[in-house]
Amino acid sequence: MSSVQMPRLSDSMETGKILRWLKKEGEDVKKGEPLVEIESDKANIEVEAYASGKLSKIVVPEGESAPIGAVIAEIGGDGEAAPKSGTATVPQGQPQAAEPKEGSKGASAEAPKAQATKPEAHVAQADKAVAAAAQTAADAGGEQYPHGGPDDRTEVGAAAQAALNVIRRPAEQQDGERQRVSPVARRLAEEHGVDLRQVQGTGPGGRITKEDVEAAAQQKAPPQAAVTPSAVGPTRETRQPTARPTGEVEVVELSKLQATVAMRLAQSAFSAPHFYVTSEIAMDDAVRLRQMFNEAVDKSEAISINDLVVKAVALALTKFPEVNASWADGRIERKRDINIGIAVGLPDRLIVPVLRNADQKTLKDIARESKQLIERSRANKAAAQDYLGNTFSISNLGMYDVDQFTAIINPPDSGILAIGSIEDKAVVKDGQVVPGKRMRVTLSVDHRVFYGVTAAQFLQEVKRLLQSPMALVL
Amino acid sequence: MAVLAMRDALNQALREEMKRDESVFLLGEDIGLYDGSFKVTRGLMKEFGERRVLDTPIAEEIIIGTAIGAAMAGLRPVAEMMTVNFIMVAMDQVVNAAAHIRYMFGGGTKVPLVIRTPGGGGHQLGAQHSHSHENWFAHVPGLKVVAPGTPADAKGMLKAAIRDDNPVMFIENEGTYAVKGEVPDGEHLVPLDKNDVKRQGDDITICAHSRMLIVAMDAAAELEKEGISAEVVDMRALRPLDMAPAIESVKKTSRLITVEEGWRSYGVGAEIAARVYEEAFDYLDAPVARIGAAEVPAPYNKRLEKIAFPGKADVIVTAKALLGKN
Repeated sequence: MSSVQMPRLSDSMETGKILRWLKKEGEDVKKGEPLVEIESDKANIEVEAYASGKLSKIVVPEGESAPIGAVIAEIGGDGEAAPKSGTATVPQGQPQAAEPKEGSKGASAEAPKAQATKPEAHVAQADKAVAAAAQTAADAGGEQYPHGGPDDRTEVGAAAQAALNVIRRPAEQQDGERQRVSPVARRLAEEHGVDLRQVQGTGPGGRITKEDVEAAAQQKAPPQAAVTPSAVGPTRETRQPTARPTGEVEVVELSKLQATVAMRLAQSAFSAPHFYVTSEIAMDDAVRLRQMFNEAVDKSEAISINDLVVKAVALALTKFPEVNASWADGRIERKRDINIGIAVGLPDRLIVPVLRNADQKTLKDIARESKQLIERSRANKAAAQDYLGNTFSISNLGMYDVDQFTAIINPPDSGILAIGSIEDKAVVKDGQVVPGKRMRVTLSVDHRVFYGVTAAQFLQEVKRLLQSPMALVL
Repeated sequence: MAVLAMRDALNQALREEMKRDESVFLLGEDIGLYDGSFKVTRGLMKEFGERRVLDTPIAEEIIIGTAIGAAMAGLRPVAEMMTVNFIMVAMDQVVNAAAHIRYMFGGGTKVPLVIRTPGGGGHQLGAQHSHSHENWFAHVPGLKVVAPGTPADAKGMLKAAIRDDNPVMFIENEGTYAVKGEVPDGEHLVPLDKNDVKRQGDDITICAHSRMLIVAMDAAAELEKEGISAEVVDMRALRPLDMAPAIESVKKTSRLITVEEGWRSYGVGAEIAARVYEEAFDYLDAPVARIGAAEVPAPYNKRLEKIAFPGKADVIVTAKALLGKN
């Protein structure tokens, strides 16, 4: 049993009028035979049966009208197999476009009649009826389906085949040993020091994907407790003195990341002419401020001396664009963003996660974000972005009881500030010797980018901010 | 905010702009007495009269030529090409005249013209009446090309197009006129040069415009059921092409599918893919997958036609393949 529905015969049609049933109730109908003549707002059109069987019931008699999609007759299933159901064969085709175009382009309204003798046309006409019904349903419900009902095609069409061929293209033979690695996987492998030769690709065609590299990086270095800038006192295993032949050398292979760090530092040291400026900063007020701050906030929001230094440096950089710059092949690039790299020493590597737009962040934010950054880096879970975009860097060995030291500039920066320990010292204040807290910082400068006076003035500004630390809280 | 079909949202835009500005007028085949082949101009001739809604002869080159002349003389014509298939006889007017005149006169004249025209296939209209030509126009400096996929964008972009001083190709789709959606009342303008994210996701980016936006949204909803989170970027602004949302999205998901109703070769997806390779190469985890019509003149045969045009299933299968899940 299948229903005959009022088809949509033109785009503007809303109801159709039954002019004439061409078959009587009880008569046999063959698929494709003319069944009923319908008047739309534009033309009178013969509609063919799209199923074979007995015309068991005429629902809408001659002379009456029905809206698009309404059941106008039923055909019983004695003859050829009828379509499973109306909705199961919803086609993509939508008849509405055809009719008005034909008509308005000057074609005769009899065109559909002329086609009616061709068997293909019957099928098309029948499909249109089904499509019309689905379209009506979509119209009524306002569904987001433009195309005469849900897209029921589940097999892949030609449209996707070409894309699939690209995705699944096997490695070419002459590629030989060449591994297939996605661009992002290659970049991450370099950053995490993952040896791609040891990674099995799981992507289409055996390509090594981002996920594969991340998994390899995780395995390579499981999260381990390591020093953080605010932690105190590293512990090292003491090697037991054992008798061994002299002259033995332990060869340590570098990870790819270590190799990259080595190369970049050498490049920086040997191509950027470094000079150094050291200054001693009175940290009494900064230490007091930190204490007061941490008493006022939750323990999880506590700030470190390093956070104060980051903030002071970032604020100073806003006044010294010539310091927040890079040497770029004979030119100087001044950066608008102030992104501070924070050097973090791990047992097996040196990394410099980047705190973005530090000048615009509050101390609390700086503390929270740098804590997260460092934790992510230690756990090998840092995103590529975490290591990119530095414009100035800080290296802090203050927790290791260091008076002062010099650091190698971290490219593409043109300056790095090396932070020593805060020491209790006897200082002269107003002609009196009093106890004071002093910290020595040393600025390494790429002499191609800026010069001694600027370096000194920049350090003065950092010093001023740390000595009047309320400016860091504002 | 009313729920309107695409055709009614377009109608509202035309009516509002004609009321707002007397220099706006419409011309095209059967747009007046017959209310337009797709009923977009319904009631406008009755409301604004025959001087502002012109029924023209079946002569596309004359329609566009007249509109260009009127635009240069200070009016704001909105020409309707019954379908994009018919504009091919008027390509000389569109490219050599509309797109280039302002440049060739050194800015001494302008062509504030809108050409509205639907493309798209899948209606069993045969090879000659199933084209999607937006890439042809998007290739030409001097034209602006937009192809909205929601009623709200259709209204806002058509109003913006009418107010723009450049020739704008406003590409509609025969298969979306009945699609309904919420449309802001009254003054609602959508910039012609901004694309946007229509659905947020993390695993894969799908770029699509016009009717394929709806297909993409639908595929994304299905993919979600299978635990794949797809982000859909609407590429409604094709020229100038706003890549920012797509690039940002690819940097997040590392995988991109482009979907268009036209052929892949030299298509919209080809341009998007090239830009992504230029601007986000290091973020890609797989080659960009382009979905488009089969590289054949559109078949009339129903079943062949069905597999020749992109559908939801193509997007779903491609997404899974990109993620290595099938």
